[in-house]
Amino acid sequence: MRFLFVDRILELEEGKLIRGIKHITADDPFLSESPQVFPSAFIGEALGQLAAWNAMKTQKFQARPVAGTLSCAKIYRPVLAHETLLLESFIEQLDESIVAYESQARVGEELVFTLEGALGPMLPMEKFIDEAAVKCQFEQLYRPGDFNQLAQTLNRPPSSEKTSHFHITTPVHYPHLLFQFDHLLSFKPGVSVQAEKRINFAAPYFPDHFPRHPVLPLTVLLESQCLLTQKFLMASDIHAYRLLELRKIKMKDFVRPGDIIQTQLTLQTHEVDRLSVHASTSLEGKRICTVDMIFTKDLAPCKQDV
Amino acid sequence: MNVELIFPQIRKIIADVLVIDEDKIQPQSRLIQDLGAESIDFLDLVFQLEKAFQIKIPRGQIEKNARGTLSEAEFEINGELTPQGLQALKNYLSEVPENQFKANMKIADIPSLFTVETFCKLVISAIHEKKATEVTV
Repeated sequence: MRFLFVDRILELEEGKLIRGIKHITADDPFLSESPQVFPSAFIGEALGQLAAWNAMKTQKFQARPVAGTLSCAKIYRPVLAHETLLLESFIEQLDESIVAYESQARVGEELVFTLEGALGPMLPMEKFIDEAAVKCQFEQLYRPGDFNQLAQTLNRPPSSEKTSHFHITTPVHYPHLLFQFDHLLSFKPGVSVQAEKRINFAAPYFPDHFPRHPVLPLTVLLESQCLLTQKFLMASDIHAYRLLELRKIKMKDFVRPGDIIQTQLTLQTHEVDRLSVHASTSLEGKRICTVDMIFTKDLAPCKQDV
Repeated sequence: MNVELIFPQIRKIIADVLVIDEDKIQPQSRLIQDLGAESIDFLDLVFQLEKAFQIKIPRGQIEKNARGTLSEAEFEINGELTPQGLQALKNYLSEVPENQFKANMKIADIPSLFTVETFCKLVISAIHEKKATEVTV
């Protein structure tokens, strides 16, 4: 199981933009069970990795970005097996200390996910991965091509096939269990929940993230928190909300194998059609990650009822 | 433009970056000790200030401003401030109480002195720098 989410880079202008694709195939190891949904946080991971490739290439693979802060991640709809993500990242600023970018993912013409205000510190490559190894990965991925032309040929369903889009309002089941918390520490219905996650070195994302410095991917933590939030809402008898946005994401420190992290979710606002949950994650008493999750009852029209 | 004038906008940006209430932020608040800022917060803060004021703040600018006309060797040796360097730093960070400055202070510890007013001064300096460049062009 690899933790690499860009299948091909088609266009790259150093320090400016990068375009690529990611196929969501039925055998993708990260899909949920029926419905086969690709984790939203991993669409963000794909976009972040895409931007990282541009930053690393521009800095001649001497430095790489790691997760820092993100103003807003928006989820427009779930992405399913048999779809292809068209990925674009636009670099706003890149120097030896930071990369700032915005990104979007489409399926065909349809926007499915956006990142706004992403900022990552640039750190020495040698700390994370051998320079030759990452260059080799890049050479495997970078096969220039016409992104727009490819976009037109992808995601055109056969005329006989019906497509339907829907929103997730209940927790999906991931057979790989990557997004599970290990223990529930406290639960106050409609108020808050606190849970603990133990970081196992055997987790499949560590070999790639990163070979010399294994750390918990921010997106794994975020998806875990989203799933926990959905379970919290259900258990609090709050129903029919779907995840709309993740706001003010900040990752302050690395989480390593062997660590035990605690996440507290607190229901901040609860209106008729919208609610917000604040998630704060601590490691050894120190707050290391925060995010605000916005949920909505607004279910966008489906292309076809299921 | 002065600190008093620019403080409200900088306070708002700091509150947003550190995810804290604005009323917790005073000009003399120390970013690390009082407001809990960490290294990622400094990167984020500088980025947000650059965007908000359309300025450039190169990395290490505060230390560079403090050093003034001193050479690097006159300012610090092996990562430790010289007596001259420490005095130059005190002169520049005039908003920081005297007792915060320690003899043999390490360069790496300088950020612990930074207050909100320090960043107000930094932004004002960058704005003037930008205007001077525009006039020259």
